[in-house]
Parts: sequence; structure tokens; C-alpha cells
Amino acid sequence: MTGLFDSANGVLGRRLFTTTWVPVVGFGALVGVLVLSATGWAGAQRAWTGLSGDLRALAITLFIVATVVLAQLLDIARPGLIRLYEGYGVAQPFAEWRKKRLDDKSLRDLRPWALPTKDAMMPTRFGNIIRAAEQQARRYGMDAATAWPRLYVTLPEAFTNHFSTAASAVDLTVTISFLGVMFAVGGGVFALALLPWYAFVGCVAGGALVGWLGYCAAVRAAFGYGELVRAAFDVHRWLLLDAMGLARPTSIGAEREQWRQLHQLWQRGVPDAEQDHLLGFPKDKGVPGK
Amino acid sequence: MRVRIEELADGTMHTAEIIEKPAAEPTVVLMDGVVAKVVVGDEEYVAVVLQRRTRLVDVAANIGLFRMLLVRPPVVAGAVVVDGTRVTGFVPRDRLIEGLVVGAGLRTGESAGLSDPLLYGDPVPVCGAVRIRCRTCGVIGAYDFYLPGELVQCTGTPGHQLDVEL
Repeated sequence: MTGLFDSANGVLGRRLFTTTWVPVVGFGALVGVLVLSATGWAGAQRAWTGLSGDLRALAITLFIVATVVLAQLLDIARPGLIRLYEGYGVAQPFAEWRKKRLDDKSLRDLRPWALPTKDAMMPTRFGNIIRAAEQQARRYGMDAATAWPRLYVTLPEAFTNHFSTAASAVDLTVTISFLGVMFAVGGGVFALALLPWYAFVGCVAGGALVGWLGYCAAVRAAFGYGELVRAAFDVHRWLLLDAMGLARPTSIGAEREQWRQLHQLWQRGVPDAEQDHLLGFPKDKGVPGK
Repeated sequence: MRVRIEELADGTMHTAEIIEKPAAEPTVVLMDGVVAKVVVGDEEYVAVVLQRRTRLVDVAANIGLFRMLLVRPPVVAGAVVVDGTRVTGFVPRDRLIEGLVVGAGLRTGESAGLSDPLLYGDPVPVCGAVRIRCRTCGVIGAYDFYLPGELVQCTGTPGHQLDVEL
């Protein structure tokens, strides 16, 4: 068993191993239990003991390969999954109703940064936490989604380590929640067709419970993740200017204009007409800020 | 997890049966071909000998060795890496501790994930279109951007240049 875990860990890396492969194996084991319950445990045991050592090793290898591939596919699909959990793509009437329910006036008065602006509200609590964090950059004239890939590569290693831990927690909880829902649906249908009624109830209720608990944990994890996104912009945004060799601004107004023009440049290819001096290019060749 | 001690070793060391004069680099002192101690300058240290294929995770699991590495003042200058009985390298103490923390997976920090350099939100589009009246035809057209001096086709009546009074 240790060898199996070491193999998967070696192929996937620690983060993917813990956040994705382990939940996938747990999911696979539960699916296996369902299938064996339908086909008969005794027959499966006889078939397994009847296999030669080579065939058993091959079966275990195939299991590792299948779960590793599934884990990698899930890793690729996860950003879309997280956006779905945030509430992107939720049908309009329902989304609008949820947005209104989640808009808390007292919270908005006390801690205006805890919720996104009214026009950017999301239909889930998880989505609002992340969206609000992404809006933090606006106060400096930055667009978080555009600036982040550029800022991320300049962040100190100590920060990216913390960020990675926080992002792992989001990954893990969303994965567990998603697999719980998948088990409730897939396992429920399977149990309805081939197993007694109580197995159906168990699959649906168990899967839904895991899905809900996973979602609650994802909301908790999103707080930490969101705070680090805010911190990156509040504390480290000038590292990006330094990395580009651009002058640091001398006032908040100048900073907003500088980031606005950089945003125009990144998105459109040119700054606003006759505003390129706001980009902060060095006046003396190669000497930032002069 | 699978990092081996030989990957941390460097060549800054000597081996000797007898030390004739102190050296700043570690000197592995051999007695009858067997590692006996490590000398750095005038200081003598306990020799920690590890086979070159030893995994860091196994070194980290050796609590006694780990404690010995952390003792102050240091009693260990580093690990002598051997292939059988032949000395092949030396891992200084600080490098060994760092290697154990990172290579054996003891550090709490995670490796970067696929989506860490991306946020999940959508980028804000650039400013809205610029609306400009063409002096020639009088039509107000919408343009992504307008750079003075650049030739732009008027969107109102195709076939002529946009003429703007600035």
C-alpha cells in the first residue's frame, strides 16, 4: 500500500496527490464497493484470489494509472469547477434571487470590502468571498484578473508558499464537494437500478452530505485564499512595477492612473492617446524611477 | 520524497589520513580507510556517514540524527557521503538541514498549482468604445480607440477616412 501511495505521489507531486488523487481514490473505492455489492462479494473475492501474482500487479498498476489520469483531468477541469461553485453560469432568475438574498446591508455598512459591489454580486457565498477579494485591486486602479498572472511571478517565495497552501485548501474542499455530488447522482442512479432501496437512500444522502460539508469547508477556505489575494495587491503590487523597470508612483492618484494605463496597454496593446507618460517609463535609460 | 543524499553533496572537501595543516574546507579523516571524523579549521566534528543512495525521507525519520544536527554549538559539520566505503562527497550541515526540510517534505508550504497564477474572475474589459463624430459625413461612430494622426476608416459611411476635429 505504501508503494502505491509513493508511486502516485512521485508522479503527481504532493499538492495534486493530496488535493485530488486521494479524494479520487476514495471516490473510486466507494464506487467499487457499490459495484461489488451489486455483483457479489464472494465471487469478486474468488476471482481476485484466482488471479496470478502478475495479473494482480497489473490490476494494481492499472488502478494507479486510471486514478492518476483522472486526478490530472480533474485538476485541469477544476478552475471551471471553482467558477461553477462561485456561481458563474447559474441560470438568471435563480441567480438574481440568490444575489438579493446574499446581499447583506449591515455587513456592507460595517465591512464594505467583505462583499463585492452590487453589480458584481455572485449567487453563492463562496463566489462572493472570492469576487470581493478580486475587487480589492480596484482601489489602486488595477484589474485583478489581468494583473495577477503578471504579479504572481514577482511575489516572494514565502508568499507564494502561503498562497499555494491556501489555494490547495480551496482545491481540496471543492474537489471533495464535487465528488460527493457526483457520488450522490451516479451512485444513486446505480443503486436505484441494481441495489435495494436503502442503498439508494444511503448513496444520495451520503453523497449530498459530503457535497454540502465540502462546500461549507470551501467557503471557510475561500476566506484565507481571498485574504492572500488582497494582501498580494495591498503589499506587493509595486514589485511588479520594479520587475518591469517602471517608476513607482508618488501619490494614490498617480498610481491609479499608472495602473489604468498599464491595463489599457496589456489589454489593448496601447495606452490612451497621449497618456503614455503615465506608464512610468524610466526617464534615464535603464534606471527605473528616474 | 525521493531525493537522495548524493544530490545535495558538493565537492568542497578533502580526505586525509593525517591532517598536516588546518583547512577551511571540511577534511574527512580516515582511519584504515574508514571515516573517523570531520575536521574544519581547528574544530573536530562527529562524522555522520550516509550511503549515497540514502533517501532524505529516511534521514529525516532518524530522530537521533536530526537532534544531533540541531545541537548548539554544532557537533556535526555535515554528512559524509560514501559509496560503499569510498568517500564521494560531503553535505554541509546547513545544506543538509535545508535539504531535509524541503526534500523530505517537512516544509508546510505547497508547490504551486496549475491555476495559482490565475484568478477565477473575468478580466475587466478595457474602457468602453470611443464615440466620435466624423466631420466629413457627420455620423457618430463607435471606435475601440482613437490615436490622433493614425488613419482610420469612418464606420458611418464606409469608404472614407475618419476626419476628426481635435
